[in-house]
Amino acid sequence: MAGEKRFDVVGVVKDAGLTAFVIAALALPLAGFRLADSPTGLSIEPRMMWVVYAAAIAFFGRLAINVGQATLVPRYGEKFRTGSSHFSHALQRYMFWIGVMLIVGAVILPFSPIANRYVLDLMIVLLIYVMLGWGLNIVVGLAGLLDLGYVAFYAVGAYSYALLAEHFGLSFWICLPLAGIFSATFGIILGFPVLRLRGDYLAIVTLGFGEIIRVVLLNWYDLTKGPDGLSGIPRPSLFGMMEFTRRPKEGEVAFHQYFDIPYSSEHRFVFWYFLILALALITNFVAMRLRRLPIGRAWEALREDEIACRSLGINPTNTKLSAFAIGAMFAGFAGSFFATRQGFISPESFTFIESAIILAIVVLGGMGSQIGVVLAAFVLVLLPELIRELQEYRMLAFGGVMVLIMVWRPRGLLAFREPTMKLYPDKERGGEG
Amino acid sequence: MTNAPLLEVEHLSMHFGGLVAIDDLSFVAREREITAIIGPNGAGKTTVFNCLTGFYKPTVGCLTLHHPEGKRYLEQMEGFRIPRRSGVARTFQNIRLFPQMTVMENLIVAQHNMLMRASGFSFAGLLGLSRYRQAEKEAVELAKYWLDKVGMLDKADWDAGNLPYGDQRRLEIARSMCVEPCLLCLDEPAAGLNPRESLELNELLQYIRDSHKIGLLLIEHDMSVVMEISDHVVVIDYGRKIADGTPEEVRNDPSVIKAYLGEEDDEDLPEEVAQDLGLSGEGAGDA
Repeated sequence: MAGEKRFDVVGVVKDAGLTAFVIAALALPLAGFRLADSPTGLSIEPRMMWVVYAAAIAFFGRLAINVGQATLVPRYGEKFRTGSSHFSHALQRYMFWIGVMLIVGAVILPFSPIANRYVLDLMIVLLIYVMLGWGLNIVVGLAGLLDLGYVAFYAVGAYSYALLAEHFGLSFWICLPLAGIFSATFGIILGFPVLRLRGDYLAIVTLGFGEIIRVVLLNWYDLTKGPDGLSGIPRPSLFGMMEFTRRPKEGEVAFHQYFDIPYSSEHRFVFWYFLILALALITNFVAMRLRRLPIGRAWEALREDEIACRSLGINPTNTKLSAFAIGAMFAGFAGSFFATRQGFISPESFTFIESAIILAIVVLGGMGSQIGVVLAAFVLVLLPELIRELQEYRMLAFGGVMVLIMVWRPRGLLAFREPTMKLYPDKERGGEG
Repeated sequence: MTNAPLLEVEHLSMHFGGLVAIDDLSFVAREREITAIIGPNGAGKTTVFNCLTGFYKPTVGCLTLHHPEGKRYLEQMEGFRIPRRSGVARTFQNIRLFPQMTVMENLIVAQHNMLMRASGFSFAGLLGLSRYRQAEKEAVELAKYWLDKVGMLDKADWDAGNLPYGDQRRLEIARSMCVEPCLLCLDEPAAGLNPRESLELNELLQYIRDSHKIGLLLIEHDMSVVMEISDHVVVIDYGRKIADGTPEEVRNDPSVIKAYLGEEDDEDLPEEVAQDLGLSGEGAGDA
């Protein structure tokens, strides 16, 4: 603390001025004019105050950042940095309890007063994405295989259920594992030709695969009804025992009759909610478990260095295929759930943007981090809902938040890797910094 | 008394298009011996390793390994099967650890095949059967044994990427020993080590040879290591073997001197190179 370093006032103001100028130059064409309806047709109205506002905000904002950096950072910077690392450590230590709390919260949510159809529906969508994120995390986060066509397996799962139910009359509970098997098979089919590829090349091929599946679904009209989609997909019953309908079929008992409560359409939503919660938790459990098994360590080793893996006798082909297949299987489960919830599916639901969102959930969450996926899914699925008031600026704000997260935490929200085994479990993790 | 041959390399040639990296190379590495392969840069030493460990398919040649359970023909095997079926493990010239995994995990990954079978290809492991837990405990014990041998037991939970350079080299050797090989191939293990670390490495390699009774194949530029610990030296230049014998025989071989130092008169040699080879006055013959 020897003598405060005086900061360069002229420099700071100059810098802020330059920022304001750049913003003004950008704002002039973007916000400086508006189209107005006039009796003679469209005309352009100047709107110079907007440019002035933008420049002023930029000027004072930049000034504040500069002054803050010059005065606060030398004094408190070190504290900030170590503080955030403490935060990270603390989070790591309480990770288990955070997980437990999230699960307990998720279980009691439908019985809490805030639960209504809208909230439950939103939570179901959220949980589908969490499940997909956990599934993709196996492929991208653990095995390090960049997969841009993950939604293809989701589509395979959804169509498997819809078609099996329609043509063979199989129930949801039989179709669910079948959909998983079909998707895993597709994962292996995709895996074989792309095993030699890595990084960007793999990403391009998986992107192509995702599009192939979508285009086939769109054009194979006899089977998939193309763009018309498949409708009337049967709803699941309570483990094949009870239906969630107001008037059950002859000789059957509906859920509300059995428990002798008044019929409510919300029962079905609560049931779906618990179904997807269970599916997601199974995904999480299996992924966490596999990570601590030799196969999971081999996935991570393969991500780190494939050549070293070969020199240790790990079969890279089988290891990659298993990651693809297991990741695809969970997408298949999620897909058949999606089909039964929607009651209607069409290729529209399985476009590239879905793959991109799932991948964004994994990357923003921090590759390989299970709770990170939950947080990122919250941000990416709930945020667009919460900022509906922003109307046409919604997607702008959405993109801005994604950029901010990546600037703030470049390796994802929760970017630390929990070792799969520790020789000295009580000690803080060594070798950091 | 000579030991039984462990690895026989016969007429090995490796061509990359028109480039001949290895040209009709034959040599024998024996059990419980350290065989050093030396030669100037670009002589094809690492290519020999890559052929042995299945990263390259040799153009011509026969690589026979006398495994306790029978002969293995390395040139016919797929690369990733060689460590498990033939017991050949290797390290790399530029260290290849799994940097984001801990030291312990690095050593456990090396025992992948054994653990994979024990975990019933993950199905039994997923259900938490005790057979797998037992196997994992044994794997940890083996890893601890080698960590202790390289003096890194206290760093077991470090991320491998955060280790100092010398530790990374040693960890890579420990990791390849966890494969439980019968032939260990080390590609420049002393590169970048300081003299003290280099000395410790010598002791480690001799310990591996003497107490684990396996053969070591060593590529090394550091002549103090080569001359000190190897039982047998093979010198190659431009892919051809130019000398083969004990360290003393090799260092006095005129063709080796020529390959390393060119055709010029000995007087023009850089002093330290001559010393490394043991040419200058007192160095000769006292090893």
